[in-house]
Amino acid sequence: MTLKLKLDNVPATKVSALKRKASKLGLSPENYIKQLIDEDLALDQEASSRSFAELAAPFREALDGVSERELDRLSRKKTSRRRNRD
Amino acid sequence: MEHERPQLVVDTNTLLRALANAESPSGKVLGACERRRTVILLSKPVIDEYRRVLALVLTDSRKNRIPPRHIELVLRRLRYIGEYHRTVRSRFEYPRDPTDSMLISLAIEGRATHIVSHDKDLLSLPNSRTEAGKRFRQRLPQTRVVTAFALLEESPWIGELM
Repeated sequence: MTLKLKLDNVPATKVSALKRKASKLGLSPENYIKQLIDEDLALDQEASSRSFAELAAPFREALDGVSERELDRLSRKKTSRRRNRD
Repeated sequence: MEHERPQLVVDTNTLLRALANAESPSGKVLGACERRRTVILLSKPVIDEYRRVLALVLTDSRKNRIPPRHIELVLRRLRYIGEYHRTVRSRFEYPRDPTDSMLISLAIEGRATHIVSHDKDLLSLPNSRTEAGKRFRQRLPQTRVVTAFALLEESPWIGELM
């Protein structure tokens, strides 16, 4: 099945970057875009078919032994929160 | 007995706690979202903030690095089970704290029943005598800011397994 896509108003810098990236990967720009679409749809498929608990497994492993207080501290440190309270 | 499903805005610290431990109160609240006992409200700014913080926390100091793909999968799962607000027209100005501002704006837009957080400042905002506290009470008279533990104490059926 063929679907022709026409992308308007893409800045020249982005088109150049896309061509460079495709070339780096040994792909034509068309095949690179096709690969991006395939990967995106595969992510959607996996996210819809696996549970939150399953998807959280790598996080549990990485954060094993980290206390909730430490998690809050890490989260606070990395959020956009500004701590210049009254 | 049928319960009204709480509409939740989830702070990043709650998401992180849930990911670290499914048996923690935060983990049970996110599990309840998956079982459709509660609804997690989402917006693009909130998801972007989750992505940014998870990436920074999990690539910064942990011995086991989490590939970006895993973060993306979790965020897409949340979108799959949650209620995504494409546009958030409501604005809650809170220049001192952009993260709280985006969470509260989403709570107004999605008519949240609860904001689930472990941030002391956000937890105390509804009772604060500051100008921001007054605006919060005016705009979100029905919304409570609670920890995951407090939410489960208030509505134990949320955490019950079917």
